[in-house]
Amino acid sequence: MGDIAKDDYQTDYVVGQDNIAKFGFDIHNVVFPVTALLIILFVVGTLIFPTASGELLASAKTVLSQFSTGAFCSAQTFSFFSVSL
Amino acid sequence: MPVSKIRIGGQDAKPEFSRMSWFAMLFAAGMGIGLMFWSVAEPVAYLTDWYGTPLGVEPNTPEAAKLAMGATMYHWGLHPWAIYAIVGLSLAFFTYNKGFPLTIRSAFFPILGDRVWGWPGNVIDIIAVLATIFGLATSLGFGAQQAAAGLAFLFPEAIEGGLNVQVGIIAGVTAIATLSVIRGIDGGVKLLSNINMIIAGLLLAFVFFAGATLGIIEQMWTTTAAYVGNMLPLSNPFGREEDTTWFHGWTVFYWAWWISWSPFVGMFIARVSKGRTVREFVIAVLLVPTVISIVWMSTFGGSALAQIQAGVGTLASDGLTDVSLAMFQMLENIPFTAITSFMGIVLVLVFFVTSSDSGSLVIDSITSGGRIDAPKAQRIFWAVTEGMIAGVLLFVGGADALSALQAGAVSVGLPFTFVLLGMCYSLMKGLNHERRLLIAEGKMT
Repeated sequence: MGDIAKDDYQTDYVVGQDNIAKFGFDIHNVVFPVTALLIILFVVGTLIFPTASGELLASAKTVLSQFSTGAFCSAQTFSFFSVSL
Repeated sequence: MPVSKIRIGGQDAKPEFSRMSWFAMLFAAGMGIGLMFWSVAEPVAYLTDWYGTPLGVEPNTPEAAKLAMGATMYHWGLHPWAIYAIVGLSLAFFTYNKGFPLTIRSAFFPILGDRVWGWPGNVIDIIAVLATIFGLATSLGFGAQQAAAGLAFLFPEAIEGGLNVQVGIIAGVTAIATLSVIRGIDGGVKLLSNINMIIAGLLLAFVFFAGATLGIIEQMWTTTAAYVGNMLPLSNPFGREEDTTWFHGWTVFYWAWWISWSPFVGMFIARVSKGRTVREFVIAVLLVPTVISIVWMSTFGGSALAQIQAGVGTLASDGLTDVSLAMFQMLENIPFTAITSFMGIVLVLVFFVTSSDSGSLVIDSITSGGRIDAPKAQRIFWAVTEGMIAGVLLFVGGADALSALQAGAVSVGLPFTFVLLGMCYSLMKGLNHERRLLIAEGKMT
């Protein structure tokens, strides 16, 4: 690892360049509308189909337990990594 | 590690907050309501085989009591904070040292380059926001239930603790959180977190001195020993036939839960950690909360276990009937019940406000493309949205809907595991690069 004089981590990106500012909001043009829409869909969906959404989430839980060992091992990795810092 | 001398925000940066306020904010954001909710219920659940016992230990034995504390600490100790530290350090470094936007995608610049500003970054940020908002709404819902249960417990004639009270609590808390969000970090979260720490300290002192003081001191030692001693067997993912139920129901669930919580806590930690060195950051984020958790768990959980083993109180006679009541049932058997229960309720409520508040700041920052100074209207929007989700779900499905939502948050958090693994690599790359740069500039040796 030799010394370097140049900073590779530079970007021309300016905070807020993809934003739209309207009605007193200043929001990222993709992230804000998509998340807001998904949240509204979720809440409305739960309200209209409480049983179906309950079942869907329960099955998500089952899928989750399939991945448990993977998630578990990665959690251990994170711990070692932090301690090593 | 050689990179540990790098200072967040540049080598000349000064910390923005005092150490005490910094610790208070770290802690309030990372554990908060959960610690109130589970510090009694979780050890009791393990001791009494409520949903499996750790490592398949025989329930209601002295051995089970030790393991109950060790396993609880295992879930609340170093591991969650290690996850938070990685996210927090990545974001702090790329935001304050490299001048990138304060949003999750910035941490992936070393891997993706300028593509992080395009769709891969959008996907990362959207997952992070969803995990955060569902996680928060779940926490708020559980917090409302506990506060309502506590009020009904304390004033049985006046308050019924039903749904109306819960929704009322959510509305009230959201209103205060909105005020606090408007006031910004200094006048809002920082103030609240400090108030939190004072009340928590008082409550801890009350339980400590009014309860079995010597027993609690002994318990702290036992808890630490059980934590350290059982860390390896509990960390082994293979051959867990003895306690599959427990392992899947608790450990795996907690890990997934902490991961889904990590964009929120990590980002909030990053936001308040400017001016700290990498070493200071990691030590503070890993050790301080772990030590506080040992003290807290030993005092609350340990007292409850002692009561059960001595056959005192409702927890001993009826077992764990209502998780949201467990803490109050423990407080009932030590002097000054009215005072401690009341403080408990207040503490749940204040923790509740801090979570909602810091969560809104984080979501606001991500959805505004990484601005730290986004307009207030937007912050209000998110604070109100969180409250509404929690309220609506409680109203429709009660606790079941909350569990469903929690499962949802955890499922959203799952893909985030991969994001986190990438983040480790990215962070190492970034820090090493920074170190060489600083050496070249003569600012570090």
